[in-house]
Amino acid sequence: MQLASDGFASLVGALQSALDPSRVRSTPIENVLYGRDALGSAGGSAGVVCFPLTTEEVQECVRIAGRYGHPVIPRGSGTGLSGGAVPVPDEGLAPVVIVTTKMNRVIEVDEDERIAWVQPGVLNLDLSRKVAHLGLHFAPDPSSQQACTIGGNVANNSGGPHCLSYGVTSSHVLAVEVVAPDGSVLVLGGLDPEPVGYDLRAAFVGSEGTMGIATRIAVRLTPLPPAVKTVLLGFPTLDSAANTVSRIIATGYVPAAMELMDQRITEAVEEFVHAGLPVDAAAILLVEVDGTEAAVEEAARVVAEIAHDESAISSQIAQDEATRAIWWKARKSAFGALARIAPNYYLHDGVVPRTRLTETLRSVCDIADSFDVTVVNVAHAGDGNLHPIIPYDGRDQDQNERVHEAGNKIAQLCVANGGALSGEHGIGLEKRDLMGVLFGDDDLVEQDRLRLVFDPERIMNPHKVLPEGSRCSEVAQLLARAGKAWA
Amino acid sequence: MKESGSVSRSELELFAEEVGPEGPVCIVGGRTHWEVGGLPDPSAREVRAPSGIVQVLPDEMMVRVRAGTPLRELIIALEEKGQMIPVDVDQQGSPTIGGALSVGWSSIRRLRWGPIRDLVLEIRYVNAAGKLIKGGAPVVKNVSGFDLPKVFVGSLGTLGCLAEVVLRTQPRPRVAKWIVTEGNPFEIRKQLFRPSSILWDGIKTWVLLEGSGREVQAELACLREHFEEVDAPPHLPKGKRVSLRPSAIKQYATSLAPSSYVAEIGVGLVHLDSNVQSTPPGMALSPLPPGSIVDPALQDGGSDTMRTTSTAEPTLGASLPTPTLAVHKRLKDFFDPMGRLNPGRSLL
Repeated sequence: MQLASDGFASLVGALQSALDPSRVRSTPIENVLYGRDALGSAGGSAGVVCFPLTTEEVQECVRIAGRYGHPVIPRGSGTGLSGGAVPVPDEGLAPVVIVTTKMNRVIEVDEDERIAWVQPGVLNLDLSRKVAHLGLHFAPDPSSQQACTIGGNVANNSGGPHCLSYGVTSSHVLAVEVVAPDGSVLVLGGLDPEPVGYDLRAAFVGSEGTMGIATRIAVRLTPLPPAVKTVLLGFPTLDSAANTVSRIIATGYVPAAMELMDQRITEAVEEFVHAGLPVDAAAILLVEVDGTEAAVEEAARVVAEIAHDESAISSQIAQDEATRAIWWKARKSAFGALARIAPNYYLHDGVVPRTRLTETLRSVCDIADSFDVTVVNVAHAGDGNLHPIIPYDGRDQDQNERVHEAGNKIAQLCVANGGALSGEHGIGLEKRDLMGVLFGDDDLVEQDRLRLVFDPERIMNPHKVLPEGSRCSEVAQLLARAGKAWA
Repeated sequence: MKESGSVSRSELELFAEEVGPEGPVCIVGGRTHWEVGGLPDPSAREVRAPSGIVQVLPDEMMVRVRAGTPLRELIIALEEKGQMIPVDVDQQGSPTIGGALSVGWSSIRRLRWGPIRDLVLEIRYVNAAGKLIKGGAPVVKNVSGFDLPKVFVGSLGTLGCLAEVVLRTQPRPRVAKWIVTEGNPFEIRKQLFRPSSILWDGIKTWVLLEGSGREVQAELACLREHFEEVDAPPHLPKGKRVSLRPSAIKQYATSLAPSSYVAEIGVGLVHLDSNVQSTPPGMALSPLPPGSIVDPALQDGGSDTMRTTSTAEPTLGASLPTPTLAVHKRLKDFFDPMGRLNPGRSLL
């Protein structure tokens, strides 16, 4: 990787001239710190790390990187779980990592219109806290919401437990101001319901930093529900918990969230959070219903009846906000609690049709057994989005290999069961080479075609999402013939 | 309806062969919104997507359906399984699901259920090279690759020919109640938690509430205005519709005669007769916050947030900022290098 050459020094100098030098860093510490994201197992090396404050500074960074021919890696808080923010050198050229965490202003909140314009570095939970006094919130609520940025949510089309009824990030993003790979500024989408042109906003949301860098985002704010009931259920088997999920959906009630945890993860979390979880249950469900007071009373009663019918061994309704809060803390602390089991964990994110959740979870356990690894299960059960987690010791090379082989098998299992590779974490580097399991060659070339619409030069977050062989030669020929005419 | 689980790909492959790799083609749905985006070039060969419902999966809240399926047939099939999708069907004509998606025609119930693009989980389409392509996956939550399905919604068949789609469905609300009141629609929106639709003609306000009986009653109890139950929403003018940021409706309505329009409150659509002047001079509708550097046209209060899908007049939208327009054009150029898909139609 080119780090010490005159060209690299010149690149860093140009960036330092464009930004305050204190916000352009290239020491070995930054190279390592920004060389990984929360996936952990995949590491790269950041060539130079930039912390812009404004759209114009992002433009400058992108243009300078382009002038020197270096790849650009957009990055928020680095909480991504698929290696999407890992800087991978491109043809030996050190990546320019553009970190948006200092662009953290809520620019404007329109209470009547229920819209907020934010900079990309605003933390997910911070926005909800900021607008809570208006009776509003930002509905996507990934488990990392205390740390993840809204720019990162846009890049990954993030989900979260409450996306069962509220939808994922794409449903809550109206417009995005984007610095394109050529340094120009685009406006995708709009505040009106039918903006002119193609829905480029939809293409950009979930593009994992391969199509540009969001610099302002207009998000939809959702009213806080007038009433909420949270039900904690314990079941004698995983099957009875999963059956309860299917039967609740079959009644026509769509809860705000339905979260499943198996016994092992419940025990680990309970030791950590002390939330009063039923650790004797083989599986627990956290079901939340919201709406008007009358509606939630009715829905909570239906949930409890179905659970009783499915032989639930415990059923509690949160009687106050503190109880509800600690139950959710327990659910959202699940990944962190795994440190009590092993120093590392490998978290999966497959998604299957809801009705195949039980059989898929069983097969996940079989796969774990066959690779002699332990697996614990957390799932957004209402969405069929499972998060099998394999705790392991990363210092043990043999374990490392078995864990990752088991992971590949789990991803393939989800596709074989009619699902997809990722429900909310994205493809990044981690599942890039499995995309061929879900899509044919022509399908992948078509996705590359879409990516090239934004980034004909392939400088933005290269080597992510699509396997190396999935290149659209037709567009490459068009570009070769047209030269820069399309820019 | 085809037997559950039987996914005959050959029908889709035959459609791909029909579209083929050469010559201008024009995909035909129910012709109910045929003029949107301009009339197709007469030289284009007409093709129709396969029709038929492949699978209704109420437990998964999903349906797999061929793009040429009439919307009425789909709605009935879903009703039989206690499911629904928020789409509207005119009394006249026979729109198809592929056509509704291609035009991006969201329901007047969008306020609660979201735009039509949010329904689409997976698409299969024939690209400009005549190849059958899949985008998305048949699950309610998916970030495996780029979101081609949503990009196709509203693309007027100019990027590829939709052959089959998987849609997210919802349990059919047990109660659906329209009410009418002379109360302020903007205040009514604040009083309710999940109204499905709020329509306003400058004098009267119609509200649709859906859910369980208790849910609807609870919402009604929140209303401070006098209201009456009615059987149906008002007639929507069919001439054109204007897309505005929702807060701009109040100002925009001052330029219109009451009862000459129906506005979707909280959404931003205004339905007008074709003879109504729809761009009052001097409107400033900046979609960006103050300080934006993005484009002079918007800073000048340009009206790119306004467009019509009119049968009577061309798009009103001011030109997009140059860099953004270039990306829109590249999308068309890269997906249809020969310009053979629905020539004559344009979103820009």
